Amino acid sequence: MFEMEKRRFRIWLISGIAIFSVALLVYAGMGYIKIPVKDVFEILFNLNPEKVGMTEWVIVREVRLPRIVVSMIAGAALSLSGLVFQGVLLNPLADPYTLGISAGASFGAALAIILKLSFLGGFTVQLMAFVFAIISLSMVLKMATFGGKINSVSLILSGVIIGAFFSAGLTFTKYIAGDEVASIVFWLMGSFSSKTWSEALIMGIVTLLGFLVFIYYGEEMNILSLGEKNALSMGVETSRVRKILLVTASIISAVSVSVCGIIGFVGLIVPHLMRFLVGTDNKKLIFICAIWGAIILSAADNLVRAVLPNEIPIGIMTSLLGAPFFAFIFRKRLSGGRL
Amino acid sequence: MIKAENINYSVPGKNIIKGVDLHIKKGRFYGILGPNGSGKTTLMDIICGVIADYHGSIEVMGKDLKKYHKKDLAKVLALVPQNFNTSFSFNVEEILEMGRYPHKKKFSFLGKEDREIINEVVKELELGSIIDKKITDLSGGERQRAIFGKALIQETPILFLDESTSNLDPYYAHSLLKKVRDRVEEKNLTVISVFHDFTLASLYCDEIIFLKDGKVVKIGETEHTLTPENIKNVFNINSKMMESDDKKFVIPYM
Repeated sequence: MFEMEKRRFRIWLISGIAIFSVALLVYAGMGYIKIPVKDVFEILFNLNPEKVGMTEWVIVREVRLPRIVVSMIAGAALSLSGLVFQGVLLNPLADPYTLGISAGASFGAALAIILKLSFLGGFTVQLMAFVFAIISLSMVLKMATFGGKINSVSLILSGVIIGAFFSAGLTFTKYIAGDEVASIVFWLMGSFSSKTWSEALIMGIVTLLGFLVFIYYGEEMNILSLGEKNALSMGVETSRVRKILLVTASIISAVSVSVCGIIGFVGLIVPHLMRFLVGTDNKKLIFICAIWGAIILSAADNLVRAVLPNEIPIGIMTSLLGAPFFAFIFRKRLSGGRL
Repeated sequence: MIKAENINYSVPGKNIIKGVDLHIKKGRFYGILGPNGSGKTTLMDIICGVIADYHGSIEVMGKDLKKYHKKDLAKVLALVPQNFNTSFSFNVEEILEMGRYPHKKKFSFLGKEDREIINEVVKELELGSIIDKKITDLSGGERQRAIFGKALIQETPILFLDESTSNLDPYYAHSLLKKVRDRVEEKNLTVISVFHDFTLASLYCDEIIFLKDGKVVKIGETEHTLTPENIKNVFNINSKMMESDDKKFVIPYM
């Protein structure tokens, strides 16, 4: 069984990387204007500059690729932070939004929209969302820390309390928003449309740094799942490691939320799905969740962008597909079957 | 081995440990006995570094407990907590491997020596039949044995047991304590264990520490300390000393 899980890990990692690369090319060719995969490949690596038309060039390089890349990074970021939240809070139901990130970000974005703030041009809403995500995170951490110690139950409760506070703020801004209410609602549903390379770059750097932090603490994450006393007596500085992991996970999801809006269910479902596939070892799950989170979310976005006749917000799609799928896996697991 | 002086610990509204002095000698098996709420687990958590905000001084192998780096401390002492549960389905083998964590460098794999240590404990504790099972599929007793194995794999000179055999059937309870006892004799292991079972305590301990209301009320050789008189004082219960096959043990009754 143990050897089998090692093999499973290799299979899912290698197939993930392969699918990831192919998906990038295939998705970029799909859409209102169809572009053959071969042409996408040539545009991507600048192989045949004379042959390819300017329109295709711009569509692939400046419109579709940034969107696909952003959706992939967001998928990786949300899945990774979901994995970390579940592992560190010892709660399989935790997700990237457990510590109030989404409520804070939503409130910040709504505030920027109704006050028509534009000190940073197009980035203002995103920056406000990020700032409030971090404010709400700090409040949750502050509230849950007592005598230098931080425990999972009080973290989750603090997340609920601070989340409720910012949700009320959000409802109030919607109430007084008037015509802007549509923009707020639309922002809340999440979207990858018209994302740019600069957004992809910011998200990419932050997510990569987070990924490295998780790899560094992979083994400690495993030991933390044995509970506070076991972990402490095995030499893990639980409070410090837990705080570093939670803050890092919160920041990478906050950046995704700020750029793309609230995209639910990915952070909850991908880590669970991957545990079925490769087992519980977080050192492996970090790689598997990053790559398959990217594949799954970009596939969902491609569905709403290029396959459906009318584009619907990605946040709706992930929950619409995610909930029944999750229910299926959950039942399967209850009945003792492996996926 | 361990020198604790004037240990005090309180949580808001309650003093749990009140001025405890302890001198733990190398290569001996200590049993801590005391009624519910007498502070046994708390005292244990303090000495093994789980609770850090105590007052008083504790020296472990000549070094102030508070000056230990967590990972170095885990090379010196291991703990088997009272009960153990997790919602993550690691294999027993993965859990046993985690026992080598304090001895391992970051990002390094387990070496041949680590594997040998693990295999030896697997054989010793008869964990072979559950080694590839998921910890979440095991019974409470099997989980306890796995975590016990993990603590032995940590290979520390000091071992703390917090009612570690309470979930086990008599066969495994005795066989685990026997293995620990063997290590005391052969490898000079120092053991400090909380017991609720007088019989187990009388069979395996060199010395008994009676704890009541956060204070040590009696400490000494098992034979002279685990007496019906002391048990009556601490637990308010009758007991009888029995002898059979030159083993002495104590049976409590109402």
